[in-house]
Amino acid sequence: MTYLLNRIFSGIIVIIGISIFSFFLIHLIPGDPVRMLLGQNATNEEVARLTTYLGLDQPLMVQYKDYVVNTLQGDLGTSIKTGRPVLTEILERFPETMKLAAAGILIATVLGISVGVISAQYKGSFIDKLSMTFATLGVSIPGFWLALVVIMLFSVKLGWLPIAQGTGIRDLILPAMTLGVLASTMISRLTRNGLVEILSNDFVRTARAKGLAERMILIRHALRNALIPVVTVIGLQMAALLGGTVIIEQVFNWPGLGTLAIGAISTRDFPLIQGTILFMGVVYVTINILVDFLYTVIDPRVELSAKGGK
Amino acid sequence: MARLKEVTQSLHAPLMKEEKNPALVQKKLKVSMFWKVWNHKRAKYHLIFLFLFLVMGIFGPMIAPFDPNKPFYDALLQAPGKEHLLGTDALGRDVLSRLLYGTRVTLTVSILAAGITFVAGTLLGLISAYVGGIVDNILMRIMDILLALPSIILALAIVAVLGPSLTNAMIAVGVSSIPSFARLTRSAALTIKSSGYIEASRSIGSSHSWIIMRQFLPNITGVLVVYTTLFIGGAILDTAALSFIGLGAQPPAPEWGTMLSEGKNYIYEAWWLATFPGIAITVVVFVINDFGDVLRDIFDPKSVN
Amino acid sequence: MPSILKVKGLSTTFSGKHGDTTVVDGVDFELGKGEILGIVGESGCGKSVTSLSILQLLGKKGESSGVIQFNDMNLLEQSEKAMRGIRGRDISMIFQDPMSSLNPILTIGKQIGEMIEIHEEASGAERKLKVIGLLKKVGIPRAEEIYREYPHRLSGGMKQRVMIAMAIACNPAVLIADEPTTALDVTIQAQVLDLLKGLQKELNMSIILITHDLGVVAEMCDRVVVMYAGQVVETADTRTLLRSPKHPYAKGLVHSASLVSNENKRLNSIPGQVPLPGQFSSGCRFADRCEYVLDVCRRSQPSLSKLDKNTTCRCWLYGSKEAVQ
Repeated sequence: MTYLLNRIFSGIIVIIGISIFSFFLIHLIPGDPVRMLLGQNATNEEVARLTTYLGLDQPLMVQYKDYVVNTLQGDLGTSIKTGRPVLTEILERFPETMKLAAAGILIATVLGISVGVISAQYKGSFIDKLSMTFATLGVSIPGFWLALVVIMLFSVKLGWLPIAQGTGIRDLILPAMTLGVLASTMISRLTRNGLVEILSNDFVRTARAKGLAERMILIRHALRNALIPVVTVIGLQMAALLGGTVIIEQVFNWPGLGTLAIGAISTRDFPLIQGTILFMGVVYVTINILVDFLYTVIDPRVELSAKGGK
Repeated sequence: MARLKEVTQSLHAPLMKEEKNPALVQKKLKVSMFWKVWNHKRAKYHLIFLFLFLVMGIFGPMIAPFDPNKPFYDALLQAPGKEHLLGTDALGRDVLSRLLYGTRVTLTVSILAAGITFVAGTLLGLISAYVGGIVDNILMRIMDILLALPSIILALAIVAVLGPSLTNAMIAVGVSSIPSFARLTRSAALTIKSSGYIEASRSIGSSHSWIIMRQFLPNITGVLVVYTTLFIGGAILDTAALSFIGLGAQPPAPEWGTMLSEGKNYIYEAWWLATFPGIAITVVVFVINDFGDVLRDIFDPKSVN
Repeated sequence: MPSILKVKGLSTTFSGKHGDTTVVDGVDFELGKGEILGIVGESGCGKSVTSLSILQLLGKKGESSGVIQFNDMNLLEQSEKAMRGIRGRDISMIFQDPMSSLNPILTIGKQIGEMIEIHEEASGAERKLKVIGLLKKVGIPRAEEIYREYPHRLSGGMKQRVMIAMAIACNPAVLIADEPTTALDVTIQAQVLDLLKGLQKELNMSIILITHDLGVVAEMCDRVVVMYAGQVVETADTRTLLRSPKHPYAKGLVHSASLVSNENKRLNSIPGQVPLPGQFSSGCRFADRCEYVLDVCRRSQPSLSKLDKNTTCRCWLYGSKEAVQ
């Protein structure tokens, strides 16, 4: 329990940090931010209006205080472009991104662990070398290009699946596959290396001395141990997927947070940019705490180190 | 081989028994580092490939058959053929020439971006490890906060501040990798800090900057080389991604990501537009990443992935 | 005494990048029914590899030849599947380091129960009852609680007791104990040895006890096999060996153990080190460290020859012939 409370506490600090970061973002713009946002042709009146709109005429500390108070009340400001509350915009898009990310991580986990187990079982074989080459390829291929290739192959050439019509299951398949395949490579490499290392442990020898078959040793004794770091990576991948979705969503016209963020940046809609960044940070921190919680479930030792530790 | 391995191990982990500064003992080793890489079969091919890539970046524009921005109005969206080896785009520009010019852009941008990461990351990491205490604590807290955002989001935020352009994308990509690079450098430097020769150096009154420059830095060179290599690969991907979504290089610049972005609109008519730049990026990044992995095996045998 | 396990001409070779290395080279010994046989020698003598060879637990790179006769079958000729049936049920094994020999993320109950699950037919409830019985038998207090615990909650001695409980779960005929007390505190060592001895009597097991500690041998073993550099150099009754060791290496061991009462100073008094596998000379492998060394020792290797009914020795001083290589 103490362990989790600790994690939640440091998670809150990180979120505060991100809020400061996203708050100051607009102040980092070189020169007069408002004039930059509006372009050189803006009249002084327009500049003054936007400055007031963004609250930039207040002293910095007041601005930050307002920002914190508003944020805590769920008010992330109003989009310059659409005039709608930022939180509404985000909450509208968030489920779509989660849908995509969840499907992606599901594919990545299943694919990554299976490939990793097979590689470890046939360590050094052709299959192992091939899948490990794919693992390196996976971190080398630009996600957006893989998305294009997938579209060209499955939509244009084979005509199996549609491009960008809605957010139904059929529309989900291609982007989720792209994300999943990319993220799986990391998982498969880690599962494989983890398994290979675990299999050299003494307790594996004990299991052999019991008369347990290799396959059972792999499943019962090695895999669960090897999966402990994999869980962490899946958590981290979830975060990377949030980043990955940004670009992939763009290619597939998926109406998620990514397209929202990119649109906001292109139009320099700062309240929206700031809100999206803060929101993504919160999601990331939450996922990480959940992963840590999962950790205590699958690894009985973690609890001890927290209880016994300082 | 076994002996070489022993020596390289000390690049990362200081020799605990003999409390000498291995970097001073290994002046000659810096030269032999190259040979060690060269003698590794896979690393050798990678080196040759990367050298060719470098040459192409420098001389590419000279061997390009056409001006990358010259439109051939009689040859719009022409498939790869004799005249235009890799075809032409919607404006009738030669894809091969654009690819070759793009090599230089990619090379420059990724090296500069990785350079930003390297300099700032190393500095922050070393300071954090060397000074320790509250400075370390604060710096690493800040890094943790920035690491809580996917690096592409961080890069997007920076582009949002600076405005979209290739230079800004490069800065954004470089800056957004600083947190993870600083963390890696810090942990590498911490293993050096605990060794006796730093204590010894301090006890004879060496200045802080001398210790950092002459004791820490040379001893983590191997590790830094490995990380930087891997970060260059990442930098190429991230810059291309930013250009692809229109926040990096702006048309008509012959940048690979921008080319893909333009090609995206013609996937029905002209598959080659969205194919060749992608292959180019993948191959280059693949070689860099695999090279990084091999370097890691050579210089940092203990780390498992 | 009828023998239950007969090892004849056992050689074990590991293949590696730089060619093959023979770690165990022509080892012979017999284990009598109900006997505790000690195998002693410094680390690197091939004791552990010998024991792993018996159960064919060498991994892909290890290969054994020779004969290991158990219950009318040669274990080296058994299929992997048949061996799985023998491991744990007929011959079981406990290892040096109980800390790492248990899976950290499975409960004690599950790990012992697994042994029964593999080799016997029993319902879950029966299994649990049996496991708790085993835990009590090896002297673990609060057996029902420990059943649900994870290994990291137990002390080293308790973990080794768990390992023993696991090893005897299916009433094996032979128990191989590879340095079972080396990793434990001195006070705990005696308890674990007592436990082993008690269980051996109660279950009428035969035990192969691998150790480098002659004190342990004196307390536990009926007979002793002394190994050096992958070979047997002497076999004798424990009393005979401790009173009048023949082979110079055995002499060195006995002297270094008895000269110093302090346990910590075990075998330090034989100068030099065991040669590494692959670096053996063509003569006697102990020649370089031997104080009685003769010319012939460096030229050719002595065979293991019988001195009397219970004693064999591999040394030119005791009328060995030239070994067939």
